[in-house]
Amino acid sequence: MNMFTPSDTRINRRQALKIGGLTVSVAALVAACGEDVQGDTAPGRVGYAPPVTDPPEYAVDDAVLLRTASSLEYTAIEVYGAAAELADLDASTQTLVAQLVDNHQAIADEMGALTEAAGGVAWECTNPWLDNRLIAPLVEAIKASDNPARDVLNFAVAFENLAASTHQVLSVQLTDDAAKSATLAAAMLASRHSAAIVVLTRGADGYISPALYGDGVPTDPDGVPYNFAVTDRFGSVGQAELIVGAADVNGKRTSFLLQTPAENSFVYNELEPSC
Amino acid sequence: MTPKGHSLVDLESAEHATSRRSIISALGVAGLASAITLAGAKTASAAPFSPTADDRATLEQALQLELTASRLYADALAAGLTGSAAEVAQAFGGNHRTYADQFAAITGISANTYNTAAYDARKNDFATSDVTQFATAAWELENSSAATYADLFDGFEAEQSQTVVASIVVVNARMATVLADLAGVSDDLDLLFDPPSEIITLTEQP
Repeated sequence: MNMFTPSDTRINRRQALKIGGLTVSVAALVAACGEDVQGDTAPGRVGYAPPVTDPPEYAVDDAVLLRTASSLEYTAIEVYGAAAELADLDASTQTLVAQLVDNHQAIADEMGALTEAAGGVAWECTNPWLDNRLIAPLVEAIKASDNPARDVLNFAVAFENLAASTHQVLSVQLTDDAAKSATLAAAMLASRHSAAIVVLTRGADGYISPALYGDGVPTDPDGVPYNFAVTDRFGSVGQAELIVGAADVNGKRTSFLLQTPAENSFVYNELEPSC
Repeated sequence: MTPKGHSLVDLESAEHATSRRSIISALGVAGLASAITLAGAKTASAAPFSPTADDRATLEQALQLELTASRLYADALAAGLTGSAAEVAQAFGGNHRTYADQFAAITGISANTYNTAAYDARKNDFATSDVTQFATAAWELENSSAATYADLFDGFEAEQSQTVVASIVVVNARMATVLADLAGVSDDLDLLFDPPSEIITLTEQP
């Protein structure tokens, strides 16, 4: 007789697992379907974390949207100021940049007047959220770049695209007719800015993106995508990627995502000026 | 045993709990009340999403303008444009055809009629293989199309009408900048950023 032959009356490991699993499942089902369960329905907290506080609920009205538009224009002016320090721009590019700064200041002034007409206080500073999370790290990356002139131009194009997208969105979101028209005009002007920078630096090679035909966007020998004046068939409001800075040991450069302002970057009426 | 500081697990209720059934009942009533409130607010202030009847009438005219532009670029290609100018005419004509299709899609109107007056006024300028003549005519068309849409913009009632038109005018502006370069006027920054334009008369619908 084999002493190690399992007996039919004993429960083997597989059967034990089946029975155990079934028991737990039925218990969970019964508990879930039970009525009049008492106790806290909030999930338990682990550790000494302070109680969760809800963020304040600030209204998003026309004044907030216009203050945000103003903040973007002042940020653009700051971007061009930084660009002039980061790279040696030729005379024609300097002339273009001076014109772009004048145009952004004019839009900022108009947005400020519209803000006050909407009952708000005009915002005359850069956008704090963009400053901290985008502009400052971008400038640092460009300072370390092996090709700051290229990065500065790409930065300017990307920021004009961001301004165009933002004003395009705002033109639909705003309720006041004058504000809607002004932001639509600003969207067109920022689009002209972006296209002009590309056309004046790349010529006919930069006219039309292959993306219009569903093809990929070509890159330069360093792997940085080329810019184009006409990037899409319709004005895009999606996020855009900007690659700048020096390559690391793997040949990769720093990538930044530019997104149109939203709840986290709006300049609320409650926000105090930062300049 | 003496407790040593706070427990690592917070087992105290944040507030007095009630039964699941009573919570669901309360939420149901609150939700219904909120829905009624929001429905009332929407009818009072929110813009409709889809084009209204008035929007559709205007968008039909815009559709005809886009088909006109597409036809003009096709004329330029047929006249023998080559090189960068031909690539531009091909791409921009395609853009305008796409815009016509987009207007047709949101209005349900067939994209098959163009604005004869706008076409006749420009057809001779477009039917050329001369790059400067073509680019100048197309630059004027893009700037005037953008100005026309900007003029119409406030009149659109629906969010979708405004969204589509806004997404087109920004590309009109980009195309105009390319055409300014092709026409040889991109060194003039005043012309580049504040170009001359005229509002195009749209075809009245019967």
